[in-house]
Amino acid sequence: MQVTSDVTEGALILRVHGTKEAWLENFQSLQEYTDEIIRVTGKQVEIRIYGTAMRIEYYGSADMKIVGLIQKIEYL
Amino acid sequence: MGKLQTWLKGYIEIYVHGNHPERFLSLLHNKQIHIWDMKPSEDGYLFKMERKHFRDLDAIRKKTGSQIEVRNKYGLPFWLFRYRKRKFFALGLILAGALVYVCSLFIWDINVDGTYFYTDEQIQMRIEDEYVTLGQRKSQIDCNWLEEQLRQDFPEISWVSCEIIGTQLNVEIKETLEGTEIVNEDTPIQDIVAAKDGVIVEMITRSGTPVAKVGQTVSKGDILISGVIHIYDDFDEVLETDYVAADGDVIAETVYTYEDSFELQYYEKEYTGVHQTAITVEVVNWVQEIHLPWKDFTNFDVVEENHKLRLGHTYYLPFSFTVSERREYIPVMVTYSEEEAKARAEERLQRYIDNLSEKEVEIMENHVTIECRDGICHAAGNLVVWERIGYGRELIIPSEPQEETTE
Repeated sequence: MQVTSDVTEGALILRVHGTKEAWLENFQSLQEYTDEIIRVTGKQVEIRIYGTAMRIEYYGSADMKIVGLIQKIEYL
Repeated sequence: MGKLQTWLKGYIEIYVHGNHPERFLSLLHNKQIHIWDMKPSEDGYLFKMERKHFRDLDAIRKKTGSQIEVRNKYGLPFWLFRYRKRKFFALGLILAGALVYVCSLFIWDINVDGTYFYTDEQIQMRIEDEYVTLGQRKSQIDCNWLEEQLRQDFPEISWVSCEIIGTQLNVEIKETLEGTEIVNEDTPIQDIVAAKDGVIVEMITRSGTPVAKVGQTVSKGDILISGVIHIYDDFDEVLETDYVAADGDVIAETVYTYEDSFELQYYEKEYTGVHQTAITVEVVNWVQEIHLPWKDFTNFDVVEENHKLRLGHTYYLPFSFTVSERREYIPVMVTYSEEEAKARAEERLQRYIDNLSEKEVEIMENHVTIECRDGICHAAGNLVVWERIGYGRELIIPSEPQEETTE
């Protein structure tokens, strides 16, 4: 049986629906949040989501939902 | 969590700023505190969270050196706190709710629809007097039983349906159509006789022996179609006599004498514009009229408007008020001019003709003349019409001649 890396390594999960909604799981902390950028760190990676009118609709213990017009996603 | 549940528990809007507000948010995440509607604002962030986690924020604030402000409070706990001093208002709300609920258990209005021969009021009065009183509990009303009673009380009702909607009893009625004859299979043996004098213009015999013929002048009571049928043998002698219920249509030309008169002088109401209003409040059976002392009007009209209080369309309450207005007038003597009088006489004649037409009487000739003389307008003359004149009259079978023929 293959166990996915999000369970074994706590890898960050990013799910994007079109260009207007994104869900993030297994994140560690929010580094930056403005109308244009949302910067989130995971265990091994940092994700930058660029766009316009970016909003964090909810920010829970397990996941967060990002809405807005997503233009670019970067992994560092 | 549903929005309603969140509202019931209460939630707050927090503004966090100062050193590293992002770290503050990360600690919220680590402590598994759920937040929503987060947005950057000025130097920090605005977000909403449940009221119960507010105390946890203090430790995070100290740890990160951030500052927090409560910007808004939402939900039931805050609403109750805000209106804590308005106990009587809350009590009033509860009492009003209870009153509305209690009132909804009773019937406060009866509505009758579909009457033609009877009037709505007639049926409503019977229901109120005998079966369902206003203010009776809905659970005590058996609609099927009520329908049965109404059918027995009013024989013209062919179909009735009772239904309770809200606090209203709705009674829908269909009556036997006007002119519809109840078919009686046991029609007695009969002749068709003339109901009035006239000259027969059309005649159709469905059963029986035609006695009269088209063009014949008949008098009231004359047999038109006989219920006796003779069967003759080859020698023109009566072989057998049968008795049947004669049936057929007999249309005759008859004459109606029309006479009508009215005085040319009459009184017309000239309203003075002075009026007085009274309000009558009715709560179940308690009635109270409220008005100033009545003005001394010699002649007046009373116009009443009744308003039943209701919630929505069918939730009638046991409260109603009637606005009645007394309007003073002075009777003024007016005289019709000859043209006006003739127009009025013609209008009355036309109404008479319309009534006849409703009874399937066809007007063929109109010989009515209108004259105005000595302050009186006379309309007199004859109307020649075509109408059905035949009706059934029971036929008595002669017993003796029958015995003679059998011998």
